[in-house]
Amino acid sequence: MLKIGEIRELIRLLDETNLSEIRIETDDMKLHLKKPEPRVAEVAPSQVMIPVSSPASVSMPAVPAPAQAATEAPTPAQTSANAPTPAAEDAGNYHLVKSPMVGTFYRAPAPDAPPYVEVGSRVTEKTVVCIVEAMKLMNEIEAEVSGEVVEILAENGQLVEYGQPLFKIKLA
Amino acid sequence: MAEHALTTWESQDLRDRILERLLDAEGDWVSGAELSAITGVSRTAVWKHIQTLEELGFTVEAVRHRGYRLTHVPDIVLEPLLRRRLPAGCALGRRVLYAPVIGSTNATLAHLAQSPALPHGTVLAAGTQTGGRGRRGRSWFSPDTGLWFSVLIRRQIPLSRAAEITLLASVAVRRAILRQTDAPVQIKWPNDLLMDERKVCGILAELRADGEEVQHVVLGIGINANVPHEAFPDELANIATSILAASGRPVHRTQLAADVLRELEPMVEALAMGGAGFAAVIDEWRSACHTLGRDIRVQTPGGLVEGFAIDISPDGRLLVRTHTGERLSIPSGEVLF
Repeated sequence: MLKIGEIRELIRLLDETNLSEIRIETDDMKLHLKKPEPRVAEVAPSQVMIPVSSPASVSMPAVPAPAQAATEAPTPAQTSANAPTPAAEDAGNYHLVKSPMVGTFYRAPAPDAPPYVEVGSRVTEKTVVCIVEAMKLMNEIEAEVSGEVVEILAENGQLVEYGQPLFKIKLA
Repeated sequence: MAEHALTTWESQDLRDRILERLLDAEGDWVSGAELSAITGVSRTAVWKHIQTLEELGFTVEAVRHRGYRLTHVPDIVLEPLLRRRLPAGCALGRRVLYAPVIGSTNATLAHLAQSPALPHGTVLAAGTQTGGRGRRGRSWFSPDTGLWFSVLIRRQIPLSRAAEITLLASVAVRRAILRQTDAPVQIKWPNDLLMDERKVCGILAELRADGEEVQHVVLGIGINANVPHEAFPDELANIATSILAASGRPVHRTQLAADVLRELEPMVEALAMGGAGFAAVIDEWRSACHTLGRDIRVQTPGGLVEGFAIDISPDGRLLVRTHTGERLSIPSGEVLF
């Protein structure tokens, strides 16, 4: 019978190679190790996520993507065909939090309180990132995605329009 | 904070069931055994809830072998007292939580509302707020002579129409006050209520949305019901008043709360059904408005606007003609006194 250390060694072998499964059968045991999915599949989730969260409030920034692609182009093609190109990954990895209504944009619950989030803050779907106020109705805006705030696109205390981008969030 | 856990409010259910039975008896005796049977707790536990009622201002007579009877009922917003004053089937106020002292009813109810178990119409009322809030974190003076409560609205309302709720609330509160007094009550855009040109009620709502639809609204209503004029701090003395101070007579606060909810209920339902919301009461709002038809100054996100207040739009924006002839439609701002 194989020892735990030997099984661990086999798992590592499976992990580090292109093998998708290993079967070993002896008189007293059967061992079957199998990778859940081919590696190609790992690319998919981050790309699929883009439109799912909220179609109305997601946009793909057009400018950064080509810029990234250009800088990456001269480097040797070391990534496998299965991996996402950096450009595609970049475009899909941001979420814009947009104002759902016309009103005043506030970054903090009160003038003397710290802002809900800063650039660099980690957020989850339910994290409140700001308030948009109209007629003393305080709309607490949630991030809608998990990730990191990379840019704040509106000025505290200013009037924002319906659909105006407020935050840029890098998806986790 | 303990008040932020829903479980800490659950013993109120037992207390309220005991109170319900005592109120039904209309001053007659109810045995400890019966109260114990109704609530499913021991007679010792019943006795503890009776003590809680006394701490809240009730007077309960207790006699061995006879039981308990109510001899005095205070004017506080407890579920059994409020429900008796509401029409049958009124969803707003069907569940009531009460705290003698609380930080802020809006803050606590907003926190409790994170639990989907808390139903539409839940009211959280307080005797005193230690951290009562106005717009933009301003403190709101909330002594035990006022009426401070928040209502949870959990109906399918499009986000684009949610702001109408605070305007509708101002109309509902005005109607409720006028059921108890003949003194005039005016509305300052968007939803402050004034008596004698001073603020008598403030309304502040907090909303969570799910895409383009309202998840819930916590509607906070603070009415300076029976606050004596001399109780207001100096900085408020010239800008705030109470119904008592303005009309000379105290109001029944639980009745006032019930009337606000009774008036608000069909307005909220109309919004949820896609019907006329603010548009249905806009003429009433206009006729009660203190802001329209005069020169005003409004602090807006874009700066101070000075001009003539022409009208309000059906979605609640203030229409102003500036001194240079420009017409502005203001969605957010504060009219300065």
